[in-house]
Amino acid sequence: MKKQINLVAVMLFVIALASLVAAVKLGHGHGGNTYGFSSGG
Amino acid sequence: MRRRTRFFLAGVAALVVAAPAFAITSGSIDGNAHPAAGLLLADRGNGPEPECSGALVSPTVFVTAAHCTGKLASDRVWVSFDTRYVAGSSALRTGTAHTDPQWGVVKDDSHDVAVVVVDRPVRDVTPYALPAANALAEAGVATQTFTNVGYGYFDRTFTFDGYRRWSTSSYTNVKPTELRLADNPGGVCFGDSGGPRLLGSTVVAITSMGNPNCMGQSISYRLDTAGARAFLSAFVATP
Repeated sequence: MKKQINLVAVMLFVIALASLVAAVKLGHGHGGNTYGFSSGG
Repeated sequence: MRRRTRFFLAGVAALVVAAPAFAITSGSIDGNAHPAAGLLLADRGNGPEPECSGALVSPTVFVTAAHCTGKLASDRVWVSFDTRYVAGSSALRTGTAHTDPQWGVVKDDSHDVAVVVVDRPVRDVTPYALPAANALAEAGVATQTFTNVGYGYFDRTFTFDGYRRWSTSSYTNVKPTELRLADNPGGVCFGDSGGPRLLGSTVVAITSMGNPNCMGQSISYRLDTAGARAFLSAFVATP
């Protein structure tokens, strides 16, 4: 039980870090998406 | 791992993961505040469909982004200046798109700029001004607040409702061909490409790209550079 809780916490933390990095950095090229309607959403 | 540490990590994770859901591009419905900002429509096989935003800079020239026009099957497009675009009933003006031929060619300059030359002069809208050469390199720019206008998505539901909106953004930095702005207090999203980044009534840059979640810093293509001015000057007088 103890190991399972640790794994969940670590996974959540990794997801959080990935989300934070995605929010801060700009993607490909300098990397973001171009902002036309057909580009995303 | 100690119990306290486990709960701390889980708490931080929950907060950071949840944050983007609340961090929307803030703005207001425009009404008639920025009548020279328009919606670019293109035919992708189903007649006129919203493609991007843009701005009128002379009675016959509408500036937008190259990535909005560069891959279209036809250079014949439409522009609407309605405060809210409604398919089938909004007034559309026909025109011909001209994409900067250096778009995607030069490594350090995206040349993400295009114009639509409308078939008939737009007489009921006062065009925006274009910037003087290197206007964004001048001292004091960093303290300015820029106005963003466009028809793009207003939050992360990515819903198109046809309204023209505006928001303001604070300065982040200027690169040789780019103006980078924060999403504070407002920002831009998909559909805003080509839309004006205004200082007063001058389009100093046009929206180009940003994060897929429409958060954080966004990139605009400067219109005050030698490259942009060289392209634009073939269609409109540059100051």
